[in-house]
Amino acid sequence: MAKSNKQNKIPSARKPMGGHGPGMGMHGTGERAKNFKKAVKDLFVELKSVRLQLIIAMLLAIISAIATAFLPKLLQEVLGKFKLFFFPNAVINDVFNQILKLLIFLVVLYFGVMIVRIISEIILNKAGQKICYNLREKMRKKLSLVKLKFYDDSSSGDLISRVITDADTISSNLQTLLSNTIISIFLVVAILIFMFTMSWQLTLLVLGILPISLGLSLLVMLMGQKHFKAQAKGVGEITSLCEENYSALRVVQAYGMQGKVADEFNECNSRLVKNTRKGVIFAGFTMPIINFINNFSYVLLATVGCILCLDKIFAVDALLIFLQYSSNFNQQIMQLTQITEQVQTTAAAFERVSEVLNTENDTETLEPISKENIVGKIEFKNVKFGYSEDKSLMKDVNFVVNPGETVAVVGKTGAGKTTLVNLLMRFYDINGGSIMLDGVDIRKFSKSFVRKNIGMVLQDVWLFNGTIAENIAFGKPDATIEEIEDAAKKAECHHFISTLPDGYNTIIGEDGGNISVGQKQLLTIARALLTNPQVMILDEATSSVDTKTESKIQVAMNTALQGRTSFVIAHRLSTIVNSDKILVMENGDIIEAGTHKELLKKNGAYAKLYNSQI
Amino acid sequence: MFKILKQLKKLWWLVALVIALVIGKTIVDLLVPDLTSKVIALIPIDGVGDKAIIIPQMIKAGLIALGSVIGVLALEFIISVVSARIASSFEGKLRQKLFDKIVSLSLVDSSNYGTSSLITRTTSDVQQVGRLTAMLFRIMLSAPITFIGALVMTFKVNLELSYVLLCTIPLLLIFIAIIGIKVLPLFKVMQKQTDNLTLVTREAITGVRVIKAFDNDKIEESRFQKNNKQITDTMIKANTLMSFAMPMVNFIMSLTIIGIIFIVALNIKNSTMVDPALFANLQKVIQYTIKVMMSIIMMVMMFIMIPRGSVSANRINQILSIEPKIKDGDLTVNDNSVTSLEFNNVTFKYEGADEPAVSKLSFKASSGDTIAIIGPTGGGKSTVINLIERFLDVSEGEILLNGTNIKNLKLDELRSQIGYVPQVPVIFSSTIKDNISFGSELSEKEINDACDIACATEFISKKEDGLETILADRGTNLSGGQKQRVCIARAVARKPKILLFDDSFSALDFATDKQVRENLARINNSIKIIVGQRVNTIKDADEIIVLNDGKVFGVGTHEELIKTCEEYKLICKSQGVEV
Ligand SMILES: Nc1ncnc2c1ncn2[C@@H]1O[C@H](COP(=O)(O)OP(=O)(O)O)[C@@H](O)[C@H]1O
Ligand SMILES: Nc1ncnc2c1ncn2[C@@H]1O[C@H](COP(=O)(O)OP(=O)(O)O)[C@@H](O)[C@H]1O
Ligand SMILES: [Mg+2]
Ligand SMILES: [Mg+2]
Repeated sequence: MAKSNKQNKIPSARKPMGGHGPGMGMHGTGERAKNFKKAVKDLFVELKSVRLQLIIAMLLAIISAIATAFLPKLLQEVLGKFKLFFFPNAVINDVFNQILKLLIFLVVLYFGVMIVRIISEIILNKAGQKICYNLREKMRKKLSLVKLKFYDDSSSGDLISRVITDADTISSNLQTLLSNTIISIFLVVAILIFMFTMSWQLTLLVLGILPISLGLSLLVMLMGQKHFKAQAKGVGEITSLCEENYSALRVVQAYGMQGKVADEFNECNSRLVKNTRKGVIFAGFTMPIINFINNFSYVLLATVGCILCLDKIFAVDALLIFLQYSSNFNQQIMQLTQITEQVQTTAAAFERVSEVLNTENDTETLEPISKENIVGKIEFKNVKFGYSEDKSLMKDVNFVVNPGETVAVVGKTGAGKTTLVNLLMRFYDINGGSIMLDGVDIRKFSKSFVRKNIGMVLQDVWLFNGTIAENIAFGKPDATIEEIEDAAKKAECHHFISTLPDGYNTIIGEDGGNISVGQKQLLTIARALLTNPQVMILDEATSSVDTKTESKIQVAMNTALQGRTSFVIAHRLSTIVNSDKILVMENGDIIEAGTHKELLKKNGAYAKLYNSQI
Repeated sequence: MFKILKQLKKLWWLVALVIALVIGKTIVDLLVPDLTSKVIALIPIDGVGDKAIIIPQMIKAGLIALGSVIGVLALEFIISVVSARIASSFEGKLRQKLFDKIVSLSLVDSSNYGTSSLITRTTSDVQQVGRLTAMLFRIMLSAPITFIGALVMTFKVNLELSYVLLCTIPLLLIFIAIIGIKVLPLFKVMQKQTDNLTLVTREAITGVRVIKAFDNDKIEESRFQKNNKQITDTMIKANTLMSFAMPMVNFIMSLTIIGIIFIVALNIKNSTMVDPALFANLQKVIQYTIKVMMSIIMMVMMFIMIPRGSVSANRINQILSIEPKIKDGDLTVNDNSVTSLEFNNVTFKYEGADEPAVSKLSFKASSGDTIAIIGPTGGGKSTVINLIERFLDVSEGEILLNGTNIKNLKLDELRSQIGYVPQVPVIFSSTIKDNISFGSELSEKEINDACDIACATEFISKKEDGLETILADRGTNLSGGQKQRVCIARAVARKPKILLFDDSFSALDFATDKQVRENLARINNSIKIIVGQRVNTIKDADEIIVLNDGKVFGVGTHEELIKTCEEYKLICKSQGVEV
């Protein structure tokens, strides 16, 4: 149920992104122009990667352009030979043989041109696809590098449409764009040269008409531009509506919202239809206009040429050839103006792609320290943090966890428990203070080092479309079946997996539709246990699991995590009571810390929380 | 493909208009070479003549030619406007229809296809079909007419020369047919690969935190890369094949022209008579030949495009033709008197499963009752909830609302009686207020009341924009418990007669959980069905059902169950609840 006017609303509500550079779909007009320039620059950078292909294609284009331009000249010669037939003393057979020779030469030449064109088309096709491939790779890599905040601020459907649709639009247009433009440009130049050598007066006439064609197509292009942009954006909106509603189907249906979301879709859809239509119409206008101008110049040339002939300035057969050249010339101009549509769609799509590519990267440690092993001592020192800069959540968080200790983090929902572990995982950057792992600021390690050494079960379950075994082995793709089963046994999911018809090879549907939520949670626990990290974080890892299974997991976990540091976020008492340390959080800060007994004695917040359970 | 074109019916008069216009335009278009060649024909071949006579004649002929071009221009304008309208409305209608269909698809059907594939079908496939229809109007209609017209004209000008065409056209067709046959299967593969690429992209976005937590960026990137490579390779293969088409056709076209010249030369060689209009005729024949060839190229391109579009059209039709698994009933529900909900020996088995997920479940709840369902993970609790919502239909037995089998009730009326809180919170990227009111017209007070009941008021008021705070995709900017409370508020806001809570307190701390339950207890005119893990959450229920592996292990109140149900006792013990 994305608000249809979402794109207008987000900027104000999601201000903080603005500080980090352009977020998606939120630019002022000044910024937009800058973006466009940057996009064009980026496009050329992209083209660099296929430099070689472009150069070869260009050479081939020159060859075929010259050959093609030569053809009317040769034809002229053939027609010239025809005149010989009419000479009183002509040896008909000789003349015929001369013509035959020329024609055979022509066939060979045309054949050569065909081969050259085929080769250059193939090369350009590969170049276009390579660019598409590269753009997608770059966007995908970018998605790994951006801050998590970026994901909070953008819509997944829109991102998908940039990666899939926009990249595809660019490559398919680029290919025709390149092949048509290169050939047309060289042909135009070659033909112009030939025309000049034949008659500069008539050539000037042709050139005099040219600005009209170019001006008109430029005008049409400018008028169409905004529709093409709106079209690319519209596809993004449509994709995000689909993504959101298709993945929330059950709630949409439970609340009888099919009609309402369809209306919303309709609104977006109609806008897209309107913009598509306008774009198509504008693009459709160029061709007939240019066609008219071409015909006009053809007739004009014929008339003026005729006058010149009659004045004996020009030969008749030369005029015919010149006319052929000029119609060829006009045809190429028509081709060139037709590419305006492609230029526009490409520009619009590329702008959206380069918005992704130009998103600021997350900070990464430059010269990271590396260690063989960690022991798992963790310390928070005066940690300050807020999801938005102007609103702090944690004001001053301090605590120490010694290696091998189990720490329970408790507090009301929204107290900041998940945030605490997010910071430890370096999902977000702290605004002040420091977090130490084994006495070293975690910012001195690479992110990947920190995450390799800290295992985590997230509060929100996520499985991918693959087999159960693959999902469990997510953090350790080379795990053996025995290891996978062992982890599954510890997480109490071996039993249910073995009752499935396909066992460990059961495919988890997209969005994990075919097993129960609790079972999914068990799989994510198995997944974390398999990696066997020195520090383990369990963020409400068993919230959807029944308590009997939970206590069994706990037993298995206690042995599995022997000597390892672990953070456990949970509401159920049984999980908390036996931990070495309990951190009680409220409004982002730690308000109490100690063992279960100490805290009960204190009779503070923890005691109140504890008593609420009995 | 053609099945989908039926959607054009409503636009029939526009279609008819465009067909008429295209025919008209094509005919005028065919006259143009003839008219312009009249201008050329006036040039005296020997270069001798009277300017004062020839030039006015030429200008007159030129004006006539230009007049016809203007006619073409005007027609083209109109055609481009009308056909753009048809093509874009058709595409829009199709997209809308598909979306409408998908949002009302049963869960079983939609998960058969997968969200990503459904997205690709609504976007990429519809676009393909749209493109094809646009082409259809611009080219398909005019190409055959041009072809026939130009052919007739060539024959009229010079029969003998036209024989050349009869040799080269079949050659052309054979070439193109070979390319077409080779390229078709690739299009099918391509759309499937688009599905896959969408899937891995979507997973990279939805699973970003997990991927990062396991430092799996590289592996996921290579999964993406594999899919990206596959689709790129297919595209390259398909386009490489297509690269042959145009240059080859051009070559054959040139060959035809050379052939014509050759025949003219041969003619002259073998006869003594010389045709004075040689140049003009040659010119004309060549121009018409080009037109014939062009129209063949266009038609052939269409024949290649049609299968490509029909791959997409089939994928769209597949969805549109899904018979709804959940059949709508025709009885209405009396709004004000939902008094009872009854399970009568209900059994349900998932397709392909060996054992039923729920078997022989019976219970009855009256207005004001609270029924709780407890049991181990995978016990079938969510399945029961899904059965009440009719996301699934019972395999055996029946579910009765006010004594009527819910299968006979109108689906939307049944569902409008129910407030449903899913086990995994569903949040839309919109304001908190929109997430709660979710389409119904609710007053400020009703929303506030709902927030109060769900204990959401406090955290909402702490947000800068309060109820107007915009939530991120999937609610990533809320804590787990906050998401759950927004969903609870959404369910209670519309004051439904039946409330379904599918383990919806799992992320709440105990104090909040208790508070919410107390608030809910005050809603006393609804049937409440609560799935829970915490004995404390459910022990005050009027009836507790213990489900294990789909079987009913016990039914009764807390007090009864701790005496009679071993399973229940174990659950209580594991939570330190005294028995
Ligand atoms: N990505 C985010 N962007 C903005 N605010 C957030 C984000 N994640 C959580 N919050 C807010 O921060 C607070 C703490 O959330 P969290 O740490 O998830 O709580 P919990 O203790 O329940 O795990 C909540 O008020 C929540 O709304
Ligand atoms: N869409 C599905 N297809 C096949 N099996 C399913 C599907 N959904 C759930 N199941 C299976 O049915 C059983 C009951 O699931 P569920 O009702 O979700 O359990 P829970 O009691 O945890 O809510 C589980 O064993 C689960 O694996
Ligand atoms: Mg949390
Ligand atoms: Mg469940």
